[in-house]
Amino acid sequence: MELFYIRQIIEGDISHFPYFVETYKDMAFAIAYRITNNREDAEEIVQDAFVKAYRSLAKFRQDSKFSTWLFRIVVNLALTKIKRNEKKIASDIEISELPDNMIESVEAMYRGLSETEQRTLINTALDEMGREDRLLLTLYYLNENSIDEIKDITSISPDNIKMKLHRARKKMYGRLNKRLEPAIKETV
Amino acid sequence: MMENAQPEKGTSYILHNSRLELNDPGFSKIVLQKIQQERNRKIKIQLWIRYSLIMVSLLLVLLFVILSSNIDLGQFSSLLSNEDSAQLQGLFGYFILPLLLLLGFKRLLDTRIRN
Repeated sequence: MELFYIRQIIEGDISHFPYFVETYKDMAFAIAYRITNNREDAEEIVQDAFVKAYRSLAKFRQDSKFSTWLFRIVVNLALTKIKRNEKKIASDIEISELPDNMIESVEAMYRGLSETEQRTLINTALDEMGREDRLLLTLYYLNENSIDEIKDITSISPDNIKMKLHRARKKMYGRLNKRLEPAIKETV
Repeated sequence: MMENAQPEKGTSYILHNSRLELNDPGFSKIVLQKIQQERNRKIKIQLWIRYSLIMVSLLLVLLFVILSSNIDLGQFSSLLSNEDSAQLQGLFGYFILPLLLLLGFKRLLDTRIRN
């Protein structure tokens, strides 16, 4: 269906474009936000990404999914934006990785929180992580992109993605653990 | 090292709550307006290319006609004062008519580009 819509748009019928905007805007926004850590910038990037995608649609080779191609545009635009505002970006806080045997207890504590608490906790944890870690976690666990798709989006090799994801996951648990530590100690 | 291709369910569950949404209801509208502007820009560029090609072609035709008709542009005033109707018809056919056509095309294309 997407390929049919794409052909129609290339031929000049833009009435199908809203389908792509509605389907991918949230995922594209999540990616842009995880890179920039700024809502306004992320919104602007997503808008520009859709316009750029429309402009370059004829060049879309269709050997990957439209979403992969679009997310790549989003990532490139977001990286360009943060390079421009580099001075504004604070350096990533050093976060220790959590050992595997502690992951389960963090997960259990996390599940015990209310949905609002969970949301606040995970967003705070992600905000404190490096932008590459945030991006990879978002692509893999949230947008459910495969390793190959992430490779196309980020231009990082599959082996590197796996390694970085593994570490990012542990760092995320490390950050969650730091916040949940008092509660975990109380229960032990 | 993460060997399996499937994301760990616990991590997916945790990250599920970091899902972000663009709550701005006007977002899609803004994007579509930008796309529409982009589309108009594309059409304008295409029309300008066509317009330029037509103008260049007509100018070449005009130049060719003038060069091949032996009209001495310096003798316009004497042509008019002599009221030589045959020469005036030639002048009209070879010079003024193509010029009017050219201006007509320009006006037509300008109107299309503006719209």
